[in-house]
Amino acid sequence: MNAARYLAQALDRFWMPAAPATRVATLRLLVGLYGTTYLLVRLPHLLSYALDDVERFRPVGLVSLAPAPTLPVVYEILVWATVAASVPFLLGYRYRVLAPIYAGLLLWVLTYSNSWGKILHTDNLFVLYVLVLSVAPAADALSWDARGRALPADAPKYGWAPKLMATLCVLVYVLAGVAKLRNSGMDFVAGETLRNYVAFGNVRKIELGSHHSPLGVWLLPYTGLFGALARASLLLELGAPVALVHRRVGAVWAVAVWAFHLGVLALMAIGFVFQLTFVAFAPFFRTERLLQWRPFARLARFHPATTTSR
Amino acid sequence: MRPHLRARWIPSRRRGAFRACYLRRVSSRSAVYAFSALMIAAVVSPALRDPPADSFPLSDYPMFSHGRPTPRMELTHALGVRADGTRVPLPPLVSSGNREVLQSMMTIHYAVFSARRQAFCEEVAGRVAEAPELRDVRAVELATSTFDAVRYFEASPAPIRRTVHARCEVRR
Repeated sequence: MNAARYLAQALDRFWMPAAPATRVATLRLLVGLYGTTYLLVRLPHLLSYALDDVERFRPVGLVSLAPAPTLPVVYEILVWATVAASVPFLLGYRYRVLAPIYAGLLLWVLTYSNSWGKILHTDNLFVLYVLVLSVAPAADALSWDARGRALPADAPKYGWAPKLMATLCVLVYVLAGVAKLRNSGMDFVAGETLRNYVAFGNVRKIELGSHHSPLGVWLLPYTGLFGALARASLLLELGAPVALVHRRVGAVWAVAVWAFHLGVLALMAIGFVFQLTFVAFAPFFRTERLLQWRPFARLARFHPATTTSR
Repeated sequence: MRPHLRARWIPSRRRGAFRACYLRRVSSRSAVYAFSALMIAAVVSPALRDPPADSFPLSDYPMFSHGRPTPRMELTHALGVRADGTRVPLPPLVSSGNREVLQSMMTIHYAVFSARRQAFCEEVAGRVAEAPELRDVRAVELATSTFDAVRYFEASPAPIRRTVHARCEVRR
């Protein structure tokens, strides 16, 4: 009985550590700001899927529940509604009601835009983060809903969402590493596969009329380099769970994976925007400390007598 | 027990208030664990399927994972044919009306291997006619090309083999 209680308490300490309300709130601000900006920038792209072309329609995920493409006008309305709903999510306005609506709309719209034959993996983590934040108490601080109220005390209810987001991030990379081992075995670390992928990716971009990476092309003769890069990327992916063991290890891992994405951009001209902005790795850090920086300090004025030194 | 938890578990000496707070605490704690377990299980689930499933937003993340022992590759794409016979790859917005290069690739692929390939070719030609930067393009070809991706950069970008599925003139 005592052992069970001890384990339960240990689990609580790990999964629901007492954290300041500003931690999950700053995560909401970061993910929310990314979301609003991203949706606005990608608006023409998202609207281009307002199609009724049944032949091209290859529904995935939630959209597979629909037997046919959504009416173009309905889809366009949903895209605009998603953009609109991203604003209250960012501001923390009527959060309990509007945040889950935003999460649902975002899930539908991005799933729908991936339902035309090619699934892109650049938005997966972004959607998962919004789903987590939409049910977390992420608007108890630094929000419209909490304006003028005293900052709540540190509590376990503010600690689980960053932990879950970090765990989901880690799992995504572990799955990518497992897929490489399952589909290529140890051939992947020999480097030839990665080198061929870099060459293949760049030819594909050129022959489809897009931009390629001159750096990736320039490095093609150096086969040994691709072996080292392949080993490093596999190590980062399969070793990702260590990022959950300790905060500092998590921070180092996050920076290393960010550098890995920078490498993918430089060698293959493939941009994982959510990761490259570093927002994807924010849950590995004490994001409430951003409020100590002058550009963000004004946010603390939402609350009377706010202390940001926690 | 940590102070923050103790404060929640025993808020009052009054029995009713204690029970209410205890139940609220248990339910919110259980909900956190249930939701967390659900999210983790959902994210891991595509990799546990046989065969693994790639979907959105849940995926087994198969990109760049399949063995590619040779640099040989095959690509179905849309080409603009100039008056001098040289060919230029058409950008995604022209070839498929989509900004995303990989979605564009799939759009071309599905159209080429369907009954409407000629109609699709005419659609592309229509977009070429409206693109001022492609005014030297006289015709559109939908083709499958085979390349040696390394040789492409080291020697020549010429394809090893090219099969033209459809061709249509650009009418201006």
